[in-house]
Amino acid sequence: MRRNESLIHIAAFLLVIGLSAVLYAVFTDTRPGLKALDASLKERVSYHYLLKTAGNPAQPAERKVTVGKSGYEDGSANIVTAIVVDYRALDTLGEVLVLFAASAGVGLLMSKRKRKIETEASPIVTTAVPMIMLFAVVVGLYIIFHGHLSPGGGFPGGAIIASAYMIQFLAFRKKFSGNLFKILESLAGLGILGMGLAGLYTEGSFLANFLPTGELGAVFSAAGIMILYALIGIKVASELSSIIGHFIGEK
Amino acid sequence: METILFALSGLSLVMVGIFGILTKKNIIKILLGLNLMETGINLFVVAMGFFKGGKTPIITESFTASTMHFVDPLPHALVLTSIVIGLGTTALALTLTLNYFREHKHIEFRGDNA
Repeated sequence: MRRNESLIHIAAFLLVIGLSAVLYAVFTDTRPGLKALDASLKERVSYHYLLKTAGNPAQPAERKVTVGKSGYEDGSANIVTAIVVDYRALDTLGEVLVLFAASAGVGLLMSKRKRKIETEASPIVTTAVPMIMLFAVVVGLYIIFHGHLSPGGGFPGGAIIASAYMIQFLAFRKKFSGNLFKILESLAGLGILGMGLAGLYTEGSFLANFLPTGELGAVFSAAGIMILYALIGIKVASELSSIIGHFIGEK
Repeated sequence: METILFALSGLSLVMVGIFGILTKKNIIKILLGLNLMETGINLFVVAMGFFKGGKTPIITESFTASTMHFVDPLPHALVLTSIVIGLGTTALALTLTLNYFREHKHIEFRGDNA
């Protein structure tokens, strides 16, 4: 038994060493030809599809979106957000569905269980937690609604709001009724589907951006992205809160 | 050179994860190895779009017009998807681990109980 274990360790070590040697050889190859990391900048997707200009900040009239080769652009200053929620929004819909499946699976497999440790939280905790909760909710909303301007968006913002729910759950052990999260999640999912169908009806493709782009860099620009990210934030927050509730257990 | 260093450090995390998955018997440690692998793959995919001196792909007043200053934003979007899916699968795997613990009263893969 012992001997087998050490043999497995040696075999795994040799496998890892071999794989590392192959990868190192691939990435430090100096012979002529196209290398693994050698793609020219003009072969990137963003070169063909993202031609935006913020113009001269002194003249707000110039701060508009230049239509690129694709013909459709949105007013998001954050290009990653533009890709996630607009150009590849169908991916994001699938991602949200995967998260929903994980949340439903956790709810199905985690039968009701009682918490074993029952201690009252100290006054320091019960005083500090509401303030931290308020702060966390405000930061989460800020990150959700600035997803088109700064790093962030619906997913991290939703996770921050779910963490606010988690700390109140740990401190006060108050659980919202199980149906609240389901209702919120279903409404947000239906909203995302409704946005997709509206894009299909007006622009001819599912989840297309049909709302006005606005002025690039303003808070209320890229209306479609803002609405979609708000819906995604609600959905992610309720799903993660439901997972957290299942993990911590009931009283 | 920086890109190669970035990619190789991500891939070394993948190697640590593979080693952990192959040799550990505790389910929690196997899940840790899976998560290390996932993080390494994410770093590697981000490294694919990196070049030296590239800026964050957000249009600001300093970088207004051209997108050629920016690192490639497409891997970032893909990695965002990957992180969220990794979180969902980890939550599901932990739930399965808890069910295994209730059934067997331990979370080790031993030779005797198959």
